[in-house]
Amino acid sequence: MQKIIHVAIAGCAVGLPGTRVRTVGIGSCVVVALYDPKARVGGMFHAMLPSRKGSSHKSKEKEVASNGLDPKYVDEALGQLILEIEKKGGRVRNLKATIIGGASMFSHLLDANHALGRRNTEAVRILLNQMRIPIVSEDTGGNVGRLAELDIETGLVEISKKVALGK
Amino acid sequence: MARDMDGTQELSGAERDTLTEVVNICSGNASAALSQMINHIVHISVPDAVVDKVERVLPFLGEPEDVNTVVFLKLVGDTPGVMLLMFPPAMASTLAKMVTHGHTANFKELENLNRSALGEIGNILAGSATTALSAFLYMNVHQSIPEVATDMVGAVVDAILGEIGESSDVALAFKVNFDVDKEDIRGKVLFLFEPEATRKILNATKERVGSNRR
Repeated sequence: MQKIIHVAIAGCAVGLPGTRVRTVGIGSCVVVALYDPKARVGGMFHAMLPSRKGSSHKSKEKEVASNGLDPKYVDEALGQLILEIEKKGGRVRNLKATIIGGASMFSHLLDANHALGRRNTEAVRILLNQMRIPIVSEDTGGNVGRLAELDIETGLVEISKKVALGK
Repeated sequence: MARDMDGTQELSGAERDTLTEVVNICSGNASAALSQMINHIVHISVPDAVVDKVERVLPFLGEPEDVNTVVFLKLVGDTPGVMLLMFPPAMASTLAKMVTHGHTANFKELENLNRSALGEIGNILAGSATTALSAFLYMNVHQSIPEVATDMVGAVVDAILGEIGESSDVALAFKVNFDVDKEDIRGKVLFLFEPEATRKILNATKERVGSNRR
């Protein structure tokens, strides 16, 4: 039985072969799975907001991790995930990415002005392009929640949804 | 409101009690409205409160992977926030049928009718809750139209928490569990506020209680 590493909202985690990295309940949040097939190391982050800059307040430095990165924000989460992958022997130039999430669950009340889901996925695409990390696949947008699981043994990403018909 | 060393706002015991009581009055009013609507006794729990970093409020709202039907309304005015009604989907459906008396033209319309009925239940509950807030604290609070979604709890509420997270690191949440007597319907009502709104409610309560004492 493979060990499952759970990534909470505003979290980030890396695994080695024999583990699966999993996150659930992805709505407007964005999840990026990064995998280095050569070193066979990979991980995921589950970010809520594009960046700290866009927020109209300043986070207290003391509350974030010791390296100053808070995986609640896309840019900082990507930085932290890459750092942790490198620590476990991965290389940025070998990384491949999958983007999951960025849905809009309440189109009238929340997304008319803000479109948080779209802003999150946009932020991810721009950053990955800058770092020349290829986006192998993407399952984003719509008004459906998602679950994602990355098998570190094979680099296989499974994305699923829960659709309620019985209502 | 006291500030701890990290700068996050913490509530004193007395402040927490005050807010819990305010929410208790609101949810009491709301449950009375629900009870009238469906002609059943509605039991409610004492509100449970949490103040924490926005992302840590999620587990308080529910198990992120569980599928729930969520009715979402925005509260605007003096105390901006949100109200959520959350049920397991089958129970939401039972409740919707109770108010529509099972009237549906055909199966295709069932989902729309249920959705609309649940939205209306949300409207009425939010209306009675905000009326209580206005009457008790002289607060000016309005509500948005309701929106209904059925999906994983984490997926449904992350955008709501994200919006709060854009203006504040910390959120305050209240949870009231309710169940309908003699029916298998359980759910929860949640109120989420930013710290700024919390402060306003506390100040208004102090003024109100203070003036009564004089």
